[in-house]
Amino acid sequence: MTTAPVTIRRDESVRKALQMLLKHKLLALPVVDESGRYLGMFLRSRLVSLLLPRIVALEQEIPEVGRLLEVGFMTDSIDDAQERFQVFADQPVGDHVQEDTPVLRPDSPVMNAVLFLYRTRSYLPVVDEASGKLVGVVSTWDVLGKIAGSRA
Amino acid sequence: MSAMWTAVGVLIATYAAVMSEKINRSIVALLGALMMIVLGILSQEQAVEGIDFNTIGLLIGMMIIVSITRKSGVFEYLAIWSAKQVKASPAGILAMLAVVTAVMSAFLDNVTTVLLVVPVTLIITEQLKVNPYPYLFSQILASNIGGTATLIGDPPNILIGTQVGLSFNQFVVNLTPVILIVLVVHVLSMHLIWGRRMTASTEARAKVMAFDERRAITDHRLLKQSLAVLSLVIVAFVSSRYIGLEAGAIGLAGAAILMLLDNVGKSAEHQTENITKVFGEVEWITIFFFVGLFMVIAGVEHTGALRLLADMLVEATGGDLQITGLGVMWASAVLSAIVDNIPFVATMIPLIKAMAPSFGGPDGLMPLWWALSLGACLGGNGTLIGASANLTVAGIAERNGVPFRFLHYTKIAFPLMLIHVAICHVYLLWRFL
Repeated sequence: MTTAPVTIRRDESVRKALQMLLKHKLLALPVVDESGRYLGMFLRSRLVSLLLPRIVALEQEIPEVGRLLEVGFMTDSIDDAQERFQVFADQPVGDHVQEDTPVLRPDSPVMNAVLFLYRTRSYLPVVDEASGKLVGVVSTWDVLGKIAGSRA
Repeated sequence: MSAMWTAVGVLIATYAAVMSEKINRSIVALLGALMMIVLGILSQEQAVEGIDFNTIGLLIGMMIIVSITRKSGVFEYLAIWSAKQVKASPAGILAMLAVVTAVMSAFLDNVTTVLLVVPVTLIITEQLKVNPYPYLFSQILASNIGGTATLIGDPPNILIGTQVGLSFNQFVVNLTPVILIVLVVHVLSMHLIWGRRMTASTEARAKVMAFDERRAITDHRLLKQSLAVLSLVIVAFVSSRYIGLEAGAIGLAGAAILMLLDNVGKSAEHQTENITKVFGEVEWITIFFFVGLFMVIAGVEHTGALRLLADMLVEATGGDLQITGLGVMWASAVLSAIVDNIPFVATMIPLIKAMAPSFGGPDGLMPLWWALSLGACLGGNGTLIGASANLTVAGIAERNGVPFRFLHYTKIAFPLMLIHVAICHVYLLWRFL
């Protein structure tokens, strides 16, 4: 576990989140409120979805929405995608929080951490149940590092 | 007599439970069917005889054909192509997509049609920076209008066609003309209400014009195969009298051939995976809803309750075909706007069949079948809960940030529906009554 991980406050902008994700090369940012309580994750994939037409991003989240096979017929350039992003850039990350990602407790079994890391391909917040505060995060690197260490 | 009341009781309870929407309608229908057997109204054999294979076969066959065909991207191609034909003008696209929706819906299930058209519509309106509401509203109505045109376009028609034994051609000859008129009226009214005031910037329109519809086709081989099978199926429907095949067999045969073409030469595991996916896309909720409903209605029919009700209705209209026909259409329209039209039509069919002696045999009933179809299909446009396509579009729209309110929809849609049914009223009088 990494204690004191990089976090973002819910009232900070999506643009800020993009900069932080890029700077720290992270897959996700834990979103916290003013008192440090954990609210959910801001995922890197969320940023990617903001570059797409809204309905396409939705179909990933809601299975019963009509699916497009692809959007290769659109001739938008990366500038157009950036323009699409600008609409959301100043919104607070609080509006884009993923709340249903798995959360670990300080006493969660190691195997659960491994399973969730495998499933989410992201990294996992560790939250204290009583206070709701973010204690740290567990990343795939933490686990793989331990594995490598035990072999060495 | 007591058996009759028990059966009617089960029917009413089933309908009430379906309307309450507290429990999935397929569960309700199956429980109702089971009640008919457990309470001794039907033996298991009699209950199974009530399930019309023709209806079920056609529904499943078409669902399979569509679920494979859509993988080719042909429907997206059609929607984008049509938008470019009108130089991406917002009003032109509003009209074109209504026509495309109606035509597609005449051959595909309405819900499937809107699931295919709505995502492309939302991409186009997002590019044009115009309000998507008019487009989605128009497509709801167009899907229900287009579905009325053919035997395979809408579940009520599938029910009427397969249960009464009407041919694909009879639907085309008797219903398609008036549906074309209704569609023109629909497109014009959409233009008057919204289209004529809509504008988009030149750059936005240029973006839509830059769409390359050929890129929407993801699988050219599959495209050719599925269009070939789809054409074959339509030809078989049109010539069903000569080749001696009923709709259910044609639909399933088409599905089997398309699955064969799509899987031949692939490994066993790949085939299993493929077919599991295709079967997974069959709407089993609808299928089992039909299965259960058929058994419930068979129970009521068996006790003679429907014949009794039919006699009462004929007596009430004085045995006048004109009054009965128009009565059936208007009652179907208004009821279908409020309740699910599938159970309604499923009950009306044996009821109308029982009226045959009063109207000079089965041939005398023909106008009533068209009246039932027009009323039940078009009536579904009246409110947001009138047909499943309406709710499907509203659901997608809401999540995409386009609110669809029941009253706001009904305020415009209900009067339009009444106009459409009034057109059919004149048509029925002119042609049949």
